[in-house]
Amino acid sequence: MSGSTLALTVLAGLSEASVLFLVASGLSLVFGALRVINMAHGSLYMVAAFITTAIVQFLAQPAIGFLLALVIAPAVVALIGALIEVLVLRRLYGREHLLQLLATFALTLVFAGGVRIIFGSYNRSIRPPELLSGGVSLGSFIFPTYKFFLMFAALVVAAALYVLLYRTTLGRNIRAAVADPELLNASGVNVARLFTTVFMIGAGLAALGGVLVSPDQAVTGGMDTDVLVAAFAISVIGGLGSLMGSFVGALIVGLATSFGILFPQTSRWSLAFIFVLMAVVLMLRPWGLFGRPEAT
Amino acid sequence: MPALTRLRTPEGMRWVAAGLLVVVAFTLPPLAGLLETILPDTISANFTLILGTSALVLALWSVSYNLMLGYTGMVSFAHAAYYGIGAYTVALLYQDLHWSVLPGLVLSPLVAGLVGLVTGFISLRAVRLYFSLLTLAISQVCFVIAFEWYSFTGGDNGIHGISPPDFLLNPTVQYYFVGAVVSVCLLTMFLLVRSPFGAALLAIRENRLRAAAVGLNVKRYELAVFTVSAAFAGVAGALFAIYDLQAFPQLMYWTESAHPVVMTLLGGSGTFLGPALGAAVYTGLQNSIGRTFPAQFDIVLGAIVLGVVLVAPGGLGSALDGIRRLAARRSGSRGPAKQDSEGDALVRIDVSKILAIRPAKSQAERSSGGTLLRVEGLSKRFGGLKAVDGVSLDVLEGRRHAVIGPNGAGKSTLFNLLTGQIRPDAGKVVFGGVDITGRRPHQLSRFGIGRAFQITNIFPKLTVLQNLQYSMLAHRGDTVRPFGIADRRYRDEAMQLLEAVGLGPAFALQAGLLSHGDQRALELAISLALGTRLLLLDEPTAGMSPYETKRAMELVNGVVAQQGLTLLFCEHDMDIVFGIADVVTVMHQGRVLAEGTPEAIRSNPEVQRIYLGDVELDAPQTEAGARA
Amino acid sequence: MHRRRRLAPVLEVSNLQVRYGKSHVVFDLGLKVGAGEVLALLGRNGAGKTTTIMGIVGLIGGTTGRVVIDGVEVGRWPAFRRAQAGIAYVPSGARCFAPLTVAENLQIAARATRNGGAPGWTVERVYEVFPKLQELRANLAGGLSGGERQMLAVGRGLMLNPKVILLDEPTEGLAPVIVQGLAGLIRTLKEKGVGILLAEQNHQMALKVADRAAFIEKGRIAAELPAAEARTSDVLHRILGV
Repeated sequence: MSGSTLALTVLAGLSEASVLFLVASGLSLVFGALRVINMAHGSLYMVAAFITTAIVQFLAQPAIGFLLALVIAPAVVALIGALIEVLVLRRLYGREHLLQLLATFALTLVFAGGVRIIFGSYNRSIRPPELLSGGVSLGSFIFPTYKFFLMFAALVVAAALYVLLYRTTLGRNIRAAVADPELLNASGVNVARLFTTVFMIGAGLAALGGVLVSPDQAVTGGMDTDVLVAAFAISVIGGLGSLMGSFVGALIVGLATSFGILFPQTSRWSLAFIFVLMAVVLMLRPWGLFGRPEAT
Repeated sequence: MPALTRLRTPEGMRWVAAGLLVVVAFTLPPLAGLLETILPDTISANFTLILGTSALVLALWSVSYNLMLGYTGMVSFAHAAYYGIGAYTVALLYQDLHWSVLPGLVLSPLVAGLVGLVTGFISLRAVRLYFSLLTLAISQVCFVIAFEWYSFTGGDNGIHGISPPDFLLNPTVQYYFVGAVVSVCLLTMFLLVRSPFGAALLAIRENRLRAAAVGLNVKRYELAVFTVSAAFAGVAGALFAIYDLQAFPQLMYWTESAHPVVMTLLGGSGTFLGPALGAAVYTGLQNSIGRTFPAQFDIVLGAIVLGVVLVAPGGLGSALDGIRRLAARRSGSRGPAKQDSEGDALVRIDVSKILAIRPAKSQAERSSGGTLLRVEGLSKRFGGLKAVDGVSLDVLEGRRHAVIGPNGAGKSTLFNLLTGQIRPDAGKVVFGGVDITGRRPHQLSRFGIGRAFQITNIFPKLTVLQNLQYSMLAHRGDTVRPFGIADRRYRDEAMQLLEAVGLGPAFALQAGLLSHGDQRALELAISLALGTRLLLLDEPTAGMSPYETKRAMELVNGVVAQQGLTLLFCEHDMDIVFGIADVVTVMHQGRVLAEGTPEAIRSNPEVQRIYLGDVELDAPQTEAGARA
Repeated sequence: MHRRRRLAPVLEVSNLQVRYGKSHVVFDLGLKVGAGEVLALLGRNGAGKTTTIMGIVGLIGGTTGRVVIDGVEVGRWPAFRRAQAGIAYVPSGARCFAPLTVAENLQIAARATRNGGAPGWTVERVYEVFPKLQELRANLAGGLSGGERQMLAVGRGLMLNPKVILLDEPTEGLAPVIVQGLAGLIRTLKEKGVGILLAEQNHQMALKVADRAAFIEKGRIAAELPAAEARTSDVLHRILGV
């Protein structure tokens, strides 16, 4: 295998991992603090992607449109997230997981229908802004600049999340909520409002993923379930509730997929790898690489 | 009760609804024809029949799913995979071996069941949420295999152009054929859930711990129901291939598994045909709104599911029940039975009745004095902490043996070790001469060890009578039988026991609605029914009012003593300890500090010290006076 | 009738009923704690001490009854609002936020005092009382010893600038020297006018610092005595002994 093929495969895996990290970290954060699996997480990602393509296509100005979308989409989706938490999830805390799964799944249906009505059912695609388009040559291949941007963005967000969790008051409260929400309540922190905030952050992360992925891949009506199942796999492998887990999990999944595609014997089954790995982790070490055993 | 009044009860209404559903299903072809003549522009008979066929298949699929969800409490995302496997079995046999679809139909449950057995075994390595996620992973693997293995499965194109045998070309005949197959499958499943096997499933759903404690190997039953459920899903998939004439990978995508869940939710998971009703409703909705406005249909469906989950998780069935109860309350009429029992059971206990069922053992039989339970050097550590450190004690047959000790003494850990909940690091436990060290809970009940848990542990949604009957079924090994009607077995014996512990009037009440004291009485009845020789009670009077406590003491003294039951219990309430116990073992920091008669323990200065600390023991004489 | 502020209760509880699901654990319980007063709540395990305290603090749904903090009725308030109103709960087992540092554990409960003028508790002042915590301030709470965690838990309670502080078995598993330190702290708080409800199995220490003692048995207050009397009464033996 030539050096440039290797480089290409690694870079492809890393850029794939970038968007997945954004989505998975949101899912994981929400589970860690609220102990809820949000089936509609992928839908929020999809809604943001459609909003982005709509804005960019409407303005016919990729650069400005993209910037606008980067601000508007996460804000809108975070607001939707707040509504979901207050109106739906609050009634379901502490009840069986099945009810939470069903309720959030119902939301998936609502969003899927809503997106089809508002945006139509055809696929959309947009091109990246001028500044980020084009490519970098690596030996005999050209690697898109935008994919480098994705990796950069993921690193920035990972750093920002770290700072949020470990250097801010809000982050401290979130970590405390993950450890002992009852004690947090007794310490004078409004845990209910904190939960809403955390959900909004999770939704915002999914939305960010949706915005950033739009210039890279076609925006379709099935992207909600595809990304959700990948996010599940990452969270399981890395550990539900762990930021580091989402990071490492995304790396594993992204690289496994791209290396799987590389070899002709395995390329067809690369999709299945992740799920087999997920199954193995669930059987042997269900809390994942970085999760904590008591966390369910 | 006169027949018509019987129909008005919730149970009766369900039979009526089921009957209606069946009648409509039977008469759909003529009905459709009739409707077409009345409204030729809107209704096409053929199309209605095709819808009906589709609804029948979905009904089978959902009811099979409900075996896991409603009856055993398992949430699986893999159900679409078995549906798809059934469809592919028919399609591949047709395409590659040129077999007609009928042998494919017959083979489909076998293939799907086999895959279900293997994948179920894998999935059950994990519990609860992780189990569900594992089924999701498995479903996706199946999907990818179907999607990618172009040479075998036709890849993302799937397999089309299956041609059915000639007699199935007529929509009416096809409808009745599918209906016949579905009916046979539904009937089989119905008999299964009514059988003792089904009773075991319900017990597991209600309370896994208690189910194990009465003798059920829970994992084995879960695997069995998983396999059976998968097999019937396979039949449904095969029928799909037969009427839709194709099979494709999308059938196995994990989100497709949501369909049976939604249909079950719409119709209610608490009844056998509920999911079938949900399937009919869903098909109707999908083909009216869903046809013209697919996007709106999704939204409406989502809104309905959301509404049901938030307001009435029991499905439409329970929503109707709720409305009826509300109406009854408004109009002032009393419901069929009082909602909560009033703790009367302990009041009504008639020890003589218990003795009639289980005659008092003679003095010789009672305290044979033999050692029933011998514990030798039992130890368990958690991390750095030795919770139980070399504990040895002997419990003699017929004795009432109390274990006391301050907080952290290790009493609960000791109990967990004795009942197989956790395994010891060292030591031996010998019961009736048999080494039972490290045995699992469901095995212990066969030996005659019964446990009442600290938090009352019964099957909440089963009736009081069912609690007792199903425990007996499980304990006597009847639950492996998938035929016979569970609710008829041991009925008389169970009723006698219930009368004896004072729960006779409450036999039809859901056990979860009993008061705390009544639930304890039920637990006692279960122990008596299982022929328990040694009863382990972990803080039995916690949470009882003083009156209930007093009555519970009388019950225990009366029944246990006369029966020759051996009692090992731990308590904080000293009145209970000294009122009941023959022998008291004192634990402190994981070890046995002292053992003896209650009087000896009370006057043991070391024991006083661990409870009272190093305080001047002033006025101990008045203590005796205060007790009098 | 003159109001003597010093004697007005900072905590007044009446008709408290606490249920866990089907179990009725606390029956019609009432107690009062005055400013600068220590009320010891004594009883055996399973008697309902922890349940009573958690019910007062608002952590058990389905609790009914009157809870008044310094004249304000808080019985219907969520737990965090009660904490803000001046009731600090220090749970048993030295419960802390294990993944957070010592400093973060303290800061999380920081609340500005409302007694205009009177300086309240700050992290620095907590370090003055517990110098060991200052040394450990960057360590994760989960890695501390039992005694250190207990100090941290009490310190966190103080950071709420409470009017009344509820301590649930603070001396459990602690070395005598630390227990003494705790007793000293309690006396200091008394002087500052903070009310203290001290639930304990270890009645020796409790009765040394308490003004009054309430004996709880099977979810009810069986007797209430001045501490001096309680030490030698037979009530003590009957309720706590064997």
